[in-house]
Amino acid sequence: MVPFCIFVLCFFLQAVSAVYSDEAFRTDWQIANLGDQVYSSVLTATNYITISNNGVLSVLNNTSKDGLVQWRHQLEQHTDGERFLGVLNNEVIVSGTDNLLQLWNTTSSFLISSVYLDAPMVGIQSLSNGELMVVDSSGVVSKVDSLFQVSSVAALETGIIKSIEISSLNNGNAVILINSDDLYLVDLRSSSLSKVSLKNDLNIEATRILTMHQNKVFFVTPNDLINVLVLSDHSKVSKSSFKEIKTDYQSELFKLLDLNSYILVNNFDYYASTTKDKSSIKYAYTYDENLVMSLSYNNIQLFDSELGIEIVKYNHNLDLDLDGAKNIKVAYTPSADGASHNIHVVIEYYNKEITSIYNDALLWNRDESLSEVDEYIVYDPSKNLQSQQQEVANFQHYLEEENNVDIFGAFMARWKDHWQQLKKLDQIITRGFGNIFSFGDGEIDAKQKIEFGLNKQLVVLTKNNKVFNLDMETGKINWKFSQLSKFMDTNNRSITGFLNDNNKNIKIWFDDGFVVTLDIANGMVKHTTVDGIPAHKKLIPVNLNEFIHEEPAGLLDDDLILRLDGDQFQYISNNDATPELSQDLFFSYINDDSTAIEVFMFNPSSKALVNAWKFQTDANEKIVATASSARNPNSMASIGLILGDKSTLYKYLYPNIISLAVFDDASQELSIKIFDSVSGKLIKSVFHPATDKIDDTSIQMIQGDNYLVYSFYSYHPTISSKIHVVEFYESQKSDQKSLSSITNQSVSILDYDAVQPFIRFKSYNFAHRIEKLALTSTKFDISTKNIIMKLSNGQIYLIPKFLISSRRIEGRELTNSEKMEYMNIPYDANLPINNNAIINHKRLIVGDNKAQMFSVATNLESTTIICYAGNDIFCTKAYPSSQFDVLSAGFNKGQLLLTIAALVLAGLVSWSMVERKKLNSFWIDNY
Amino acid sequence: MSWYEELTNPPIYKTAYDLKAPTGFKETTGTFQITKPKSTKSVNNRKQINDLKIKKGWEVALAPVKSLPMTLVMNYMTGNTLQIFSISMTLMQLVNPLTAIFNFNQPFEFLEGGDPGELEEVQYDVVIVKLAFIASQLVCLAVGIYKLNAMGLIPNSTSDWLSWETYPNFKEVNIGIF
Repeated sequence: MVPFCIFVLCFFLQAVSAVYSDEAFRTDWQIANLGDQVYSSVLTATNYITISNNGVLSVLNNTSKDGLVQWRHQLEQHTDGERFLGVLNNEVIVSGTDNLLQLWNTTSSFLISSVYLDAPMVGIQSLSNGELMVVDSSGVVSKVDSLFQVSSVAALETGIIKSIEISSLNNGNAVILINSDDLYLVDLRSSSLSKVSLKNDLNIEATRILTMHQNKVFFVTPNDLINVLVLSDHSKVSKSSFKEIKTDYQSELFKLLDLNSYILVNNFDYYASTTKDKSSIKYAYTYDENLVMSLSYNNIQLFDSELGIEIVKYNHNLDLDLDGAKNIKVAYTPSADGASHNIHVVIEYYNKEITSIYNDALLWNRDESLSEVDEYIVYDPSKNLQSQQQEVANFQHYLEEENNVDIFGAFMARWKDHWQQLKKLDQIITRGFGNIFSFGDGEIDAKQKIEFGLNKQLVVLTKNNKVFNLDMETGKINWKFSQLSKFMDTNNRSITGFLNDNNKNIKIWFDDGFVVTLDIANGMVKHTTVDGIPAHKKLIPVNLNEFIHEEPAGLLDDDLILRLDGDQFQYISNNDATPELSQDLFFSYINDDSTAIEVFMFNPSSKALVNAWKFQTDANEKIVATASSARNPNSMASIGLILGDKSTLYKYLYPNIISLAVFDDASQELSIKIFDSVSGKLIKSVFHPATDKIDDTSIQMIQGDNYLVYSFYSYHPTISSKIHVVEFYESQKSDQKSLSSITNQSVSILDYDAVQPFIRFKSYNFAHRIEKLALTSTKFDISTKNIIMKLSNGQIYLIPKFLISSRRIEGRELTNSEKMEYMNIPYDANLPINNNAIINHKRLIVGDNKAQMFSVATNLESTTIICYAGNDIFCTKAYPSSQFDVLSAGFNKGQLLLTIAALVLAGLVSWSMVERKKLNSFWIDNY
Repeated sequence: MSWYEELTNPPIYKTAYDLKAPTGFKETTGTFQITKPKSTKSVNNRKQINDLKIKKGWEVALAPVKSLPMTLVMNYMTGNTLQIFSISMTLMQLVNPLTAIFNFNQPFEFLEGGDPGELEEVQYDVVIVKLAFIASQLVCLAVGIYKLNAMGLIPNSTSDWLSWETYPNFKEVNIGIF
């Protein structure tokens, strides 16, 4: 009896190990960057404030060692005008773009006030009395006072302002140099102006104005020397109030020393003679007329500029690469009694690194390269491609076995499987037992990380050619490789490919065939060339193995399709043998000017790429977005929708569908074209007329198993994003099949040319501007598909696909049968925002439509990791159909153990009671 | 020992002490027998009893059908959702008619008592009654099956077998857009 019970129980028993969601998924991090390029920056005693090219206003606390962003705001991204940055009373940040002047509280990030000026601003200057001066393009000078009031002070008598330099004087007044000639002194208290012309009044020939600092104008003379014009009167300018100091310094020398800031040329000899080494001084700065600061590779010195005496010297010994510095900001804060001299220095490098030094110590170091990610690779270091393919093969084998064998056979197969697991019970117990009784901090071990598919790494290639390896769980940088430029500068190469080589190496391809192979584990260079690649050709490598999921397909890891000069393609392999492919490989290529799509077929016998078909757009038309199906090889998802009456509406799951968004620049019309990529047949075309007023930069597309979702921002009929869904079904009616009725397992679509999908279409409004679309990906595609949207307001929003369905009922009540259907809801043109579905929570995610957004499956079907790599890098976990396979955080381990113990005790007590009762019944006669 | 046996053939209790029986108590040895009166039933009388028995038999046969309205009301009230109460109720509706059909003679045992050949005249009626009983149980079963179907527990639609359906693999593979 007992063996029989074990036999039966084995069918039901399955050994599983479980973890808490908190333990398993800590993935939730963000690398907040300051922006693509620092456009303008200000360093105060406490904060480092920057504004970037893409309009990110960032504030860093420059007193702490973490160098983390305190707060950021995404300002208007798309502007042709300049961006301005200033500080008011050291407490308020002023940012300006075009006509808009905004005042922000430095510590709390609140917007204090927004002011629209009559004309676009051309210059901003903080004044010595704490106020701020703004000059607009019509020449109106305004001041912003400490009560945040903006009032116009004077109007410059000027025509078109081509260039402007503003300098603040010690008495609160300001000097403005317009078009390198007209010099104004603005007295802000009396609102009076005085003006001289450098050329006409002072007879100064300046080929170039280098900079202005306080009462000095540095300019280059026609014989290439630097002269300084010094203003002696600080209340008005006249011919007599200027003195020209002629120097013998060449402008090149100035260039070497000038890092877009101020150098006191007339005092240069003082500190040069003090340090005895001119070349070691890379930067000099005047705090006021009496102090000069010099910065060299290893120290910071402060001198009295009049006497040339060193006041203080800080040896930071950081061996700074000052040749690579683009900009240096200095903040000098002496103590009230003048006894201590505190110097903050922030160095912005050309390679996008930023270093902050406080006196003699490094405060923080940031690398802003991560703000522009070009390519990415996600890999699991515990697996190589072979083991991944083996895992897929195992699952397929398991599925086939379940599908094909009879009931008894299936029972036996499952029994064997479970018996094998039970035989390993000792391992499970030894591994899991500790977990049962541990109430610790919930760290899971490395083995479990591998088991749950959490052991993932993200490798990114940035626009400035650096490679970073990030831990996907914590966001920590494991290694960084910044030497790629070394291979490029001398040979004028550019990177064309970034490939994962079997989870062991990263291969970086250059356009001339040169390959750098990095060890994926530590970022060290393994090789720097490869044989058999034709040199001096433009190459775009495509590793075929990454796209073939069905089976190994007879290709090697090194097999590539390369794009040569122009539109020529070549197959290249280290293997001379003809690949034996069971499938015909097609790939689509969009030409450089985005006017045509050409589809090629790979012929294994001739190893050539044969042109299959081509679609050429009309004049003025451009392909602005594309999408293609990516069928998950593990997919166990249903091939049909189950309707309320239990019948099935079969999905049209033909995988080789590609979609193009074609925009006509002249007529402003958008057409969406859906093709069969094999035959070139146009399956469906959707047309959006010019009256929709579509913003063509906002068009986004994604394709799921039987649907295409595309979105754009348009100004008609409502100013909002429009989301459209096109769904493909095998028939209009349920229980009718077309392609799914084919029993043959390997068929050619060309034999079923007449089969057409039934297409449904619906459109939705969405209030926010969508910058990027992506789909969630889970291991078996059982979880509900969700659409990931990056919104322009910095949020990442997750919306279930069933809300964006073509089958939502419009204009009538749902029938009883329709109500029974899973998530079939009445149509509402406006998609709601569910605050709980914003997966970045309170964080601001900055980026635009050039960013990468992707979802990586874990081994837990419920859970996916979503990453965004734009201006910021952000990764978090998401549960598209809630956490059905993970213990919730509220699961009480202690209570469970107590209950089990109580039940065991109750069992023992009742067992002894039963035994006693049985015995008594033999002895006591009821009669 | 059933109440009928106890009544018709009471056990003999002997006292442990030598006491005399109370006045009027007739001590018997052996089993107590109710002596059946000799058959004086007339043919008419037997017919009446048979009619009564058949009438009673019809009552038993149609009892399940009579309880159907209540069952239908209950089914309507419980709805088609899968809950422990409605599932157990539906299972009872399936199991009870089946057990009743398999033991269809049991409710009609009372017809069998009496003299041999007593039911000869109405033997066809007895068969019809039993068939009617089976039919009414089948009606109850049908209601149970209907309820089961309404709950979606009978795999009779394409969606029930969807997991076993496969989609063809195509020879052509699109490896992406570049």
